[in-house]
Amino acid sequence: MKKIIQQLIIMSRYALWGITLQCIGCSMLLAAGSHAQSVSIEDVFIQVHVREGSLREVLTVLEEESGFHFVYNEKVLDKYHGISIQDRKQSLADILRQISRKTQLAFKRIHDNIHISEMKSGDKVIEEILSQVPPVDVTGIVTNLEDGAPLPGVNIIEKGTNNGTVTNVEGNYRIRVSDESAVLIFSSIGYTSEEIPVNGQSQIDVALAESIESLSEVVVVGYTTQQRKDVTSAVASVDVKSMQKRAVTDVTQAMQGNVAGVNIVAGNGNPGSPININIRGVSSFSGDNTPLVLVDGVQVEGGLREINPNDIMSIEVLKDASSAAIYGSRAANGVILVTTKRGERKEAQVTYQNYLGLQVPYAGIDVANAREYVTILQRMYGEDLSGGDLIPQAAIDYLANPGNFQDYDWQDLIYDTAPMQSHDLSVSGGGEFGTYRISAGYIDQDGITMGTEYKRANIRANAEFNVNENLTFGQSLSLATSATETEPYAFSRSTFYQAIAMYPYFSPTLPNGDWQTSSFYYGGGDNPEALIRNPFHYQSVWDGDENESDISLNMYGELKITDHLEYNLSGSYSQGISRFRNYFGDKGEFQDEYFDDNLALTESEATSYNYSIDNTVRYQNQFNIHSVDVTVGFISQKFGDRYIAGSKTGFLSDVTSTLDGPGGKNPNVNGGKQESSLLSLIAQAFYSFDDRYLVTLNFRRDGSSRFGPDYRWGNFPGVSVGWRLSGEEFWKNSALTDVFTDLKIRAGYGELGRQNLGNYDYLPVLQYVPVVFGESIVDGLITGTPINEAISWERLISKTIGIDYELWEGKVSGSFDYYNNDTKDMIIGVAIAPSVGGGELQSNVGEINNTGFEMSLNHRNNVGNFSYEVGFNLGTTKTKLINIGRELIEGDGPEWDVPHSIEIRRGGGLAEYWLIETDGLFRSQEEIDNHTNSEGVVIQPNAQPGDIRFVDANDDGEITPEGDRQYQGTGMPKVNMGFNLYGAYQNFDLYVGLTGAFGQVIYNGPRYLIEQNYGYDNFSTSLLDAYDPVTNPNSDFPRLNPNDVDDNWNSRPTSDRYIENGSYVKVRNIEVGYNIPVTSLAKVKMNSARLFARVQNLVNITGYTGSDPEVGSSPIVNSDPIFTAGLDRDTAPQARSFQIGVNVTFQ
Amino acid sequence: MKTLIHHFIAKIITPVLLLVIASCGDDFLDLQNPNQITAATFFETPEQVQQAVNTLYPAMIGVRLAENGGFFQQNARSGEAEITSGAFDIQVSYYNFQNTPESGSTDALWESLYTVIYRANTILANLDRVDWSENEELRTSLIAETHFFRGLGYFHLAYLYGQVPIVTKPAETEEEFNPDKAESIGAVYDQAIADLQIAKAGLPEEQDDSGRATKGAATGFLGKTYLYRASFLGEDNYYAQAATEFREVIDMGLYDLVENYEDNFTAANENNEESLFELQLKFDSGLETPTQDRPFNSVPGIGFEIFLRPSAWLMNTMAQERTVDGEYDPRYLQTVYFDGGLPLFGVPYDQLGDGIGCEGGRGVGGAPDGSSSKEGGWWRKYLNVNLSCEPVLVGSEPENNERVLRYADILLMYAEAVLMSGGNLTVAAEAVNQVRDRANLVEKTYASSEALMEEIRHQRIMEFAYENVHYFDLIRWDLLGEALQDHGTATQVASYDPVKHKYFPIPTGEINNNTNLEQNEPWQ
Repeated sequence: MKKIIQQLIIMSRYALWGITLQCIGCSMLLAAGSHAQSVSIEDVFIQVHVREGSLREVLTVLEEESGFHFVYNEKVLDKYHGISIQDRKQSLADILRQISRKTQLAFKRIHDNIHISEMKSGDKVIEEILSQVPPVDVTGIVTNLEDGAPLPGVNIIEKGTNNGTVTNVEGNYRIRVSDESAVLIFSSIGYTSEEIPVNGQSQIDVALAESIESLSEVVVVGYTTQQRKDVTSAVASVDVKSMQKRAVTDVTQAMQGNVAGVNIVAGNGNPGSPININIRGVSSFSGDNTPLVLVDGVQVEGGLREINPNDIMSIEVLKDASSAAIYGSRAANGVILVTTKRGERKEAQVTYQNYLGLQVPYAGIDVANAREYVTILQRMYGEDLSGGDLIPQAAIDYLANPGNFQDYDWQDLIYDTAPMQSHDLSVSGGGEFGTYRISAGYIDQDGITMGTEYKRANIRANAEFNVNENLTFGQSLSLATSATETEPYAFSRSTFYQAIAMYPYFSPTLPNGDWQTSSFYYGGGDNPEALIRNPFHYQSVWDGDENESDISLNMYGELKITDHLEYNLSGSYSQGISRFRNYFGDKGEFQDEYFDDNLALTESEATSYNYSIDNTVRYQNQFNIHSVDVTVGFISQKFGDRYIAGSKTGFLSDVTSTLDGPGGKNPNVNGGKQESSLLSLIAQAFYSFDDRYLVTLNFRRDGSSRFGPDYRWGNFPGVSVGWRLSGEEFWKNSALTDVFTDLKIRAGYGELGRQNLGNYDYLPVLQYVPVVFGESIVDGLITGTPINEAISWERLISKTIGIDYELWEGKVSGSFDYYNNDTKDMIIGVAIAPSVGGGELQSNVGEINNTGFEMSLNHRNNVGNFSYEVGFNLGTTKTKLINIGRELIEGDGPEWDVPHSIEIRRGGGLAEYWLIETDGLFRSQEEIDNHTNSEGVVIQPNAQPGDIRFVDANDDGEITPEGDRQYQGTGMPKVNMGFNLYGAYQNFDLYVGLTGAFGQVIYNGPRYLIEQNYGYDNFSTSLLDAYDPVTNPNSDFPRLNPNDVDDNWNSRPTSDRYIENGSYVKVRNIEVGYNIPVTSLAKVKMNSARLFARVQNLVNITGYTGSDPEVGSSPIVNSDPIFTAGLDRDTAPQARSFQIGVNVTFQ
Repeated sequence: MKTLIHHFIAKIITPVLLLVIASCGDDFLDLQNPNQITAATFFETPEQVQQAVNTLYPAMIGVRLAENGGFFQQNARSGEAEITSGAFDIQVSYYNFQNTPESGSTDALWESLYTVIYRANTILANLDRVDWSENEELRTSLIAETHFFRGLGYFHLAYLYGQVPIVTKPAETEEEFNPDKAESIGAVYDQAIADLQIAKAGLPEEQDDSGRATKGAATGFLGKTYLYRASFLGEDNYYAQAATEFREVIDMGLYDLVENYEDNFTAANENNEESLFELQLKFDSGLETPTQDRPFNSVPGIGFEIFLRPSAWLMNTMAQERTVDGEYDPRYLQTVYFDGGLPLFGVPYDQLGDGIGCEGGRGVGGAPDGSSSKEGGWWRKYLNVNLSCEPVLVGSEPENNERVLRYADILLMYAEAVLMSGGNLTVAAEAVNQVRDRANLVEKTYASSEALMEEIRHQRIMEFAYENVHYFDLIRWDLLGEALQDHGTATQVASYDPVKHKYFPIPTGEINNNTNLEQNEPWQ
């Protein structure tokens, strides 16, 4: 966790204040006087008089009179009042004993400092350390273990004393310790503490390792920050370090397996493909379920996808409503708060990092070669292949003369080893004036599937200026531009689908070298109905580009009105421009009737934008043991988008690249614009009593332009409470405290709103219809179907209880959470009876419930020179659709003509597979005759041995998709897990990251495609092993039946035959790094240099037989995972990849 | 806790905060839709009401031409057409009388009819927001036009579905959103008749826009409604009323049969003197929202309606009677064409006359795409294809108007109504002979009402094949069962239930979303 904390402190508006305080504290600690060191305080006599004074007053007097210096914790000091000291000469020790009787404080004198602490059992009231040896001065520098950079602000304490100091900006320190046997403890937030015996050394240089997670971390919570130990809601910090080790283009994907309860699945393996993400399950239908992403407080239009992962300093995920309530209407899907890196107040530092890599495809799936393909056909249609209408002529020709044919491995043809690279350069620094950081990044990833690529360039500039000690201005600017070459989907099939179904003897090229135009066999009339196209030809005539450019900027000012009160004004603007270009060239002979629009170009440009003005006032203070932190604010935001699109067809030339090209016909233009606005009042209050009892209140009131004036405002409160057991006396006094360094129980309740409605949907609009009368056309206008003007907010009610724990001083830490989220008033379209107009009435009637359990467990330790950290997290999600406005919503199926398979039903869950159950094969006529319903009707009378036995679920004596489909599982994982391991030994380090998902099923679409008994696609090699009554009676693969339909339809797509267990564990990432020793870098003026090598997606541990068990959803039919999670249809597998890279720093 | 929070918010926070933002809030949050015209300012001028009324016309196109369950499909059940291999399951089950409420074969029809009614109700409910003081005449005409469509909607509902909900204003309450069925089928006819009477009273005889509803159209449909009511419900007293309305149309003197039968189906001779009401179809690619073209075309490879071909029975029936010149009835040759080469029903191809099949002579042609069956015919009515050896679409899109009510129908219905109400045989025969005469058939006299009725039945087949008339004629004459026995398929005969199949089931989309509505009994 790199310098996150340091940087955060520096950046944060409160940091200056904090550091100032810390420094004052340290100088106090260092105030060693010249008092005689050999005299016991029993022998120091003074006379003071105090009547009913506070402890603070007493100590002030004693310091003056005795010359000793008291060292104490401010909090302790303020607790005690009413102390009287008799006005007579007495020893300092006696006076302290009097005080102790009143206060139960213990005093420990070290040299001329007297340390005050609350007495624990076994403590003496007064203890003196009178060293006979002279004190020793120790100096040194503290650096970051990983990159060797100096660490400012590190606490150094002499063990057993309160003697201590902190490092300066250069990481240097100086401390006077009592003797040579002293032990120094080096600690800093975000780093693992080190204990080093002085052993007579006068210089001790220390390199601190970063800690993975710690309760003393500072986390961003809403509009403010809190220490992890004070957090009372479900806020998780992303392990940014592991994230930055993933060579993926999208930060979302890099977060996979990183935080319990954050469920991420790549929709598709092609670079630049969308990544599905939800936090604690899908909780609404009407809008998307992706969380709100704020980058430095700005809702960026490009989302996480357009961010350079190396710019990220920290990511916090607000998972429950009690934390997210502060983001109100936009937060119901959870909130991801990204904080980007900022400069530090030191000399300029330049960092360059890169990686270069290669991606290789996983092994393909087994399909028949030409010989096998023809053999399978022969087994179906007879030796001479005369038995079927659909026998490709080429297959018959093949029989006659196999020598005329070549074998093509189509999967091998479409997949290729693909390069990837990433470069990242940043400059950062700072001084009195402020801080800055500028970075540029470039990433380029080719896909393993032909023709796919994703490229992106990023620039980010962050700066902060201190006008005076009360006024700070800061700014962030981010530019990103990306280009995606998408995969062509000929006939709504992916390249992969074309490849596995392609005839194995089909050559991509004609004898003259041109691409063959389709799967037609040029020798003779192959079946024109086949939906298989030569992807090379398709690619050659089709060009699809997507470009995206994003700008986001933010400027803020912070005014400290008093020590406790500050005002913050922030304005931000973000804009994303998406350009899309789709060109169909000259498709050639015989293709026209299968493709519309020869030489057709469509271009579109859509701009989305939002701006926001945030005014917040924050008050924080501490009264004795009460600490209070209140923020209130007023926020106004506007969101909009506009688009324009144009197309023409029939250009004269195939090289046309713009709509101005010659000969374009049928011009068509479109455009539109939408806006919505949001006004919000926010309030957040945190109260802590003695660091033991914690309460956080959130409140937000939102007004949305999407709802009618009377239904526009929604109130969204959140409350969470925490109890730190480890802060209780009984706990501290028990042995538990030796184990539990920190233990907190927390509970939260919150409500959030969603405005999942189209921008103007509460306003009735008119429908335009042109009306023909004879030869003329006149206008027709009419109000559309009924609409609900009373539509209003969806409401998410979230309840969480959790435990945060830290054991053995942080060796083990983690948390448990249980949540129950209920979406009420969900906006769903309720169908109106056609007799009163039909259509749908948007109504607040839906309800979805999500419950789940999350845990995280981290362990870190050092064994000699070997240090390691292990993190494990796990989250479960259970979704119940209580009301979806209707009984059933049918999703898409495995093939375009198979409507039934995936459904969601009232009372059920998401992406449920409802399919006819299979029960093995019939092995004899007797088994067929015995397969009857309860009335004795033979269910599959026409079956033959070797056919599949289907289960007649509704007992009606026949097998129909309408009646016999049963629940066969959901495509949504029930459990998601992640595992990270870090190890470091001397200059070497190792990282291993795993992710896993369990409990979901996958519909193996490719297998369905190639296990069908139809002659016009290639087959799976498993057909060679099909049942045969004579030669292969024990096979589990059903018999080959070319007339495979109706009752005994073995390859029936609506059966559970293609359902497989989708659980998997993926070895996501293994990285080995080597830090070049600092000494050898000095010559090249380099601060640190690290070399690394990694492998990603090394292996999948799974029972799934398809190419990749990580199946997000179908990229073609419906990419909404609500409907198609687990549907392996046209999904491009992810690649296995290898990278090497360097990370160097100059200063 | 929750109540406490709400209480706190309601009583303390909200009032305070509201004060803070009251000043700037609502302006910032009031956004107008820049892409659409909002309904708030609609129904304020006569022009707007006119625009709203215009939308009833395309809605009615949906009724006539609705895919799957549109009228064309119904031709198949009458024996006029037969279903070919490759037809969709939904078409097959419908053809075989095996459709269920779930199969959805008639959903679109129901939805389109009620869309017409919904729009009409919206117009009638909002119409008087306009100041009509300067335009009383226009108001009357627009109200009549609206009632015309609503009446037409209920007329179709009555004979297609029987007992259906009668909705006469836009729904507002929970109860209105879940309308119950009418008391009886008669009540549905009553509603249709009441609407059409208002239409008849208020519509002008002629309109500036060709194709706009007229008094003649309203009168013709009113007569048809009476006729259907009489024959569907056995309420014979309505025959006389039907005859009166048809007589009125005839006496208007505005309508006549066109000389050339084909003119009733081509794009070139739309809105002609024979036409009382037709759906205006025209394709204009320059419009963002395209106008409706003809979705069906019975040419393999071009058209959609390729799964329903003229039946052998129909072609035999149509080939029976020759003209005074000894030729085939021109209506036969304008109803079907042949794909060439083979003798049809005993008649050699080259004797079938001009204009049939592939131009260029015997033996040339074959199925246009080379793949279809080599026998049988295809529909020629409404076809927009030059019947050359390579069929070519006339114009870029088919846009012949669909003739919904034409004078030939008025004449034949008039004859039927006169006969059934015990009227003068000669008067009835004269009307029938007008129709025969246009087809160049010899003028006939009829010995009895029964003989004339037989002739009317035959002429309705000859005249209206492929126009969605025959199926409902058979039902209302109670002859469908007989017809299926005679020339239906075994499956049709086995599945047909005269009670059940007299009406369509109420679509499940309605049953599921209307808490008050139960399925009609035979379909439960």
